Amino acid sequence: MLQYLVRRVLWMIPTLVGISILVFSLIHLAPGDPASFLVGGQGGDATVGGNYDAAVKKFEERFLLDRALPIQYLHYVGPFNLGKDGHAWFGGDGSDPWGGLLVGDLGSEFGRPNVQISKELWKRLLVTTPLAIVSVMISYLIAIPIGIYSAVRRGTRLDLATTVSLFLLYALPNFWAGLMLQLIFGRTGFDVLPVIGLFDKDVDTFTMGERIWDLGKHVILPIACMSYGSFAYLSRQMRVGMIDVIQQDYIRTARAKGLPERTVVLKHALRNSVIPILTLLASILPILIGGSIIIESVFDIPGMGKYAFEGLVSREYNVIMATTLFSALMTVVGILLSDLTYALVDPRIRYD
Amino acid sequence: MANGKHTTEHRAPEPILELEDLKTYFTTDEGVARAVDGVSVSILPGETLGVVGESGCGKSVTALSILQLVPSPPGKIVGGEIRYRGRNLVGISNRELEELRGNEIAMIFQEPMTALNPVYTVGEQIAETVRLHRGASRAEARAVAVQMLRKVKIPSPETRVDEYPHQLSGGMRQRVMIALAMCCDPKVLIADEPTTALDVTVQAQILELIAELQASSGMAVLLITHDLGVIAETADHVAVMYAGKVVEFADVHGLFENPKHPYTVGLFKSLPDLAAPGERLYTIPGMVPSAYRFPEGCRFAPRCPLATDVCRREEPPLLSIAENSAHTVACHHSDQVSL
Amino acid sequence: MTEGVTIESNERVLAPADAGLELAPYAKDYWDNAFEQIGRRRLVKLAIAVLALLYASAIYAPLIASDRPYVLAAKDEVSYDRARRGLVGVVNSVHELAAGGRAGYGEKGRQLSFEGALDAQRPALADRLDTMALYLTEEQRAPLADLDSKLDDVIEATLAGAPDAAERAASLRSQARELRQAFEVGPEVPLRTARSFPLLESISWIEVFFMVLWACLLAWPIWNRIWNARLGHDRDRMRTVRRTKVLAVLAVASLGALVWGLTIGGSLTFASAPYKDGLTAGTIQAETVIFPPLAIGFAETHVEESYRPPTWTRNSEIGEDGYYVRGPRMPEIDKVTGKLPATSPVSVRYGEPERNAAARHILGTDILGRDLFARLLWGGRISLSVGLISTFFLLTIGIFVGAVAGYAGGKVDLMLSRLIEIVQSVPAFFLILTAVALVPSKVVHPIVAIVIVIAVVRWTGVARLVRGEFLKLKEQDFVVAARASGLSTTRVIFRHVLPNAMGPVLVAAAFSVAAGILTESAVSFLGFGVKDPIPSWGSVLNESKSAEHWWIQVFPGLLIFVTVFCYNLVGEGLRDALDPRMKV
Repeated sequence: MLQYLVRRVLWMIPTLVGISILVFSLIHLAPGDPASFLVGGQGGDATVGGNYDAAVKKFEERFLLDRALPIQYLHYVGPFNLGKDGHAWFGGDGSDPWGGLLVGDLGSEFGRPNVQISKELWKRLLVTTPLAIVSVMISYLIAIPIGIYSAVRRGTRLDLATTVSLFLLYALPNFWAGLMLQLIFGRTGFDVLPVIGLFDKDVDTFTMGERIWDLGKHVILPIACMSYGSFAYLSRQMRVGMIDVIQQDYIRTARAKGLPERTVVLKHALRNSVIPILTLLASILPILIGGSIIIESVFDIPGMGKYAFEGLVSREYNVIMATTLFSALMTVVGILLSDLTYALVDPRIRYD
Repeated sequence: MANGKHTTEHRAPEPILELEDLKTYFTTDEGVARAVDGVSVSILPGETLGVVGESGCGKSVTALSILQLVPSPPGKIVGGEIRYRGRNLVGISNRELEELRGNEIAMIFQEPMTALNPVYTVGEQIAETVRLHRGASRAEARAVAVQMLRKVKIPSPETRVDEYPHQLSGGMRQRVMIALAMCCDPKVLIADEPTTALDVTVQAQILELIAELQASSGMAVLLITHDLGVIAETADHVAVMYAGKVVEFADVHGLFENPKHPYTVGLFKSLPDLAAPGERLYTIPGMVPSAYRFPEGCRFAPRCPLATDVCRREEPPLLSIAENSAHTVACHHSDQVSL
Repeated sequence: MTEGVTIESNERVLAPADAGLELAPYAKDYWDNAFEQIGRRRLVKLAIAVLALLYASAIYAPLIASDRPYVLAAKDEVSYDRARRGLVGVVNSVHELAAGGRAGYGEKGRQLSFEGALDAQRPALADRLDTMALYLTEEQRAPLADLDSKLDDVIEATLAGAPDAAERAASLRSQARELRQAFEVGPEVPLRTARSFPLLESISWIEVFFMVLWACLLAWPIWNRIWNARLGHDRDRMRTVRRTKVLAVLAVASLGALVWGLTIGGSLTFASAPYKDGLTAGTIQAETVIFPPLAIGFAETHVEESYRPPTWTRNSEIGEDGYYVRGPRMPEIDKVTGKLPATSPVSVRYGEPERNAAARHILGTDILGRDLFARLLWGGRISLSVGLISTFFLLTIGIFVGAVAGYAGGKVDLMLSRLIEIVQSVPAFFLILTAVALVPSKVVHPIVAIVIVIAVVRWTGVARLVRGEFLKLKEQDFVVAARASGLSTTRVIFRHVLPNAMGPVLVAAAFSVAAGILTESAVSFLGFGVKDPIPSWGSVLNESKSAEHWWIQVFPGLLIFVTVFCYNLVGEGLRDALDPRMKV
């Protein structure tokens, strides 16, 4: 088991390295450099002093943008700081020898050089992760019973209605669903829920209980928006899986033993049909992370998705790298996680 | 077998299981498939009734109909009676059925590979039945499971009891299935092609095991098979099925020595040991008709060498070949039939 | 135990579904069954019809909503005048080039070479002469006849470095000046009415190809029936001509495109003249004008109608003075100045529906007052094609990789499987966004970027499917037989294995078209897709993030939703029809 785990984790490394190189080259090979963009955009001293070129040069030096791409990459990965103030081995003055991804340093933003991306990302993840976990849990918790119900009652009118509604939900684009939820529940519609942000603007004056209530009201729509897609998908898979399992010989055996239908379904069929659903976690997780860009933009939630979006808009190379790498990591971990759960619930799977 | 093949003269009056004019139809987009279309047979306590026939003749559906395990929809028992100890099982509540299933009437299936739930240990699956019907505690049920595994001659049952089905061979799994079926001492065992999926050597062991268990417990066995060899070895009485109907019913000697239906004769002729050496095996011409479109009159007529107009017009009833004989046949020309 | 004869191999509980098949009046092949299965599902047929309609509206968008008239019979003094004055400009440029010579030309920053600059003058002159010729009779324009050949001579002379080139250019220039004078509109030079077809002339041969193709497909139920009747409804013959039918449709479409390209296409006389403005202002005096049903272009702005709600709603009514009559947009008197906010009255241009007609902006307008209906109609072209094209590419990659892996097996399979695993763990949406956001739209068109990246990150599903099918199929008798009879590997793959693996691939294709459409919309919604003024459904949705402008939020999203839903339905239907193993 441990050996299997170690091997799987080791296998993640080349994947992540590959993705990081891919994204890194994509970012840096794309013309249009952030130096002119940023220095021109907000450089008070640069424009006033008129020394635009010097400002760009200083900027590029600071972020090593003037160096060869492989050097930039190695600098990004670390653990050695390859900049002017970097490790003495690489021609730096040694004042700040370490840096890069390997020591947990994700660089800083171009626009706000004193903001550490690792810290900012962590802050954002504290928003995104709970939302993601809650919506995954909600998806599973609703999808499984619905899937079972409509499989067992297969062919009835209620099953048909469920299937059709799930199918509709499944085709619903989440950005549009978000907008429509805002339209319906926001001020333009019933005006019952806040549609923007995580807290009311007066949150500082609230008591603890009020804060929780306020937060709860704010996250209902985003969570609904994040969950319904995977929920629809999971229910459909659950139904299909359940129908398949119910036709298996061992279910007939269970019935022939005299087990009540309830036990047959909830004990013998459920466990077999839940197994494939659990592995779908691997495909839901990346969709959820990708979706967070959209949902957090629509609902203006300061999470990782919003951060990635802002990074893309303002060409913050390091932010793009950090968020993309993180979501790649999550994708890989999701796959690993689902394989592990599969192995835990299905005795036929062995680690080797 | 152990219970003797010579009980035919004095059939006990009180059958433990009787099917009377049983009809199980399947309704699909294609129409109505009359898979079982008026089957009447009975089994005496302790005896073995063999049901034989070609693929698609409805024998498996007959077996499933008894415990009402026919997948529904599309299958449904549309007529007739299934009497267990004189009590009609058609239309009784699910609760009552559940009490009978696995307890009074047990069943084993053709495919030991898929008939056991892959995510539970064999011990759990046996114990579950014991606890259900006997109200035993977990520990007691487990002990019964070990004991049952020993009874079906599985080596080192104490360790096997905690293994999963995929860890066992096909023969072993069929033994587990038998243990599962026998664990509550059923009065009737329905064995639906119990050996078809197994190796020849294992087949013999399994049949032997069933016979031994039958001898010790005195249960009746309804053996569904397409294999005349198995019938000859194990059955006391035989029902030959064709196109959803019983076409001939007799004790095993009567049938093998004096078959009276052209279809039965065809089956015998296609056995290799009856054909002269070097001669090509006999095959019955044509195919089993689709259950959606049975021919008029005698359903075997299109394939029958003796068929005449009356066969194509009128369906022959199942009649005794002689007065007071238990040997019945459904053929207009049974007097012309001989091996 | 004696060994009995096996009468049957194994009897399953009953599979009544295939019991009746042997009695069918004719043997059905794969496609017969597939069509029959699809034909049986009403919902799937409905979905196909809706999709056909959506595609039709996108393909025929220029014929439905455009600011160019189909037919324009008019005198356009303004454009005539522009062309007339332009004559001298062209000759002037040639003179300058001839006088300055090659040596004086090569300064930096020039887009064209010396030769190129000279050559560019020929079409420029031809364009102006063509425009003028539209309004002049044969006799009238006789003096103009030799102008272009003279210009040619001068250009040739200049290129050849003739010493008198500059001189000849100068004389041509004075001639042009005289002509300009002589052709000024007035009693001596009456303009005739010119008939032109601006809309049709703006349609390229590619558009014609799809228009003809779609017309053939929409008319399929009719001609197919006739064709089949002529075959006597003989199943076998119908089956053999199936491929002919497909080829015939393609041939008709290609022929149409070819004919169009050779005749009408490319002869853009009216380049981008503002017909409606001219017609409204009266500078174009029209005899006959036929506009499309909606005479509003997708990029045509009406700033005074910014964010106007759909014109059939009550709150959309605008008074003569340009103020909303009721609803939340009704003007309020400013507290500080005590005046109403400034506004300008709605300008109803030539051919447009009246100010408060329900049909004016049936789906409302965006911030620049562009008509949402026209934008969505045209936007469908991008949204609907991105899904198809990206699916085409991802199928190509997926089928190729899957086929190689499955057929070759062994080490190749192992390596490709690893590759598939790695690509699968790429966060697709992030990568697509990054690529589209960072690659500048001048280098790679954002839509092309979206298509490429979707194909590059999403082929793994198809590859796995094809690989699995290949692994299964290559062991089957007919493939083994084909190989044993000495057929080449490629032939075995393309003739025997691939067609049998196509069922699941087609199913996956339908779903990936839906996914492609969703992805493009999402990317455009976030603002990284097509660049203004080109619309796509997602980018239109992006144009308002405020719930006040509900029409901009509701309609594009609804279109995306319906399209994706229909594709999913079709995918599901195909799954049932083509792939009985995956059947629920």
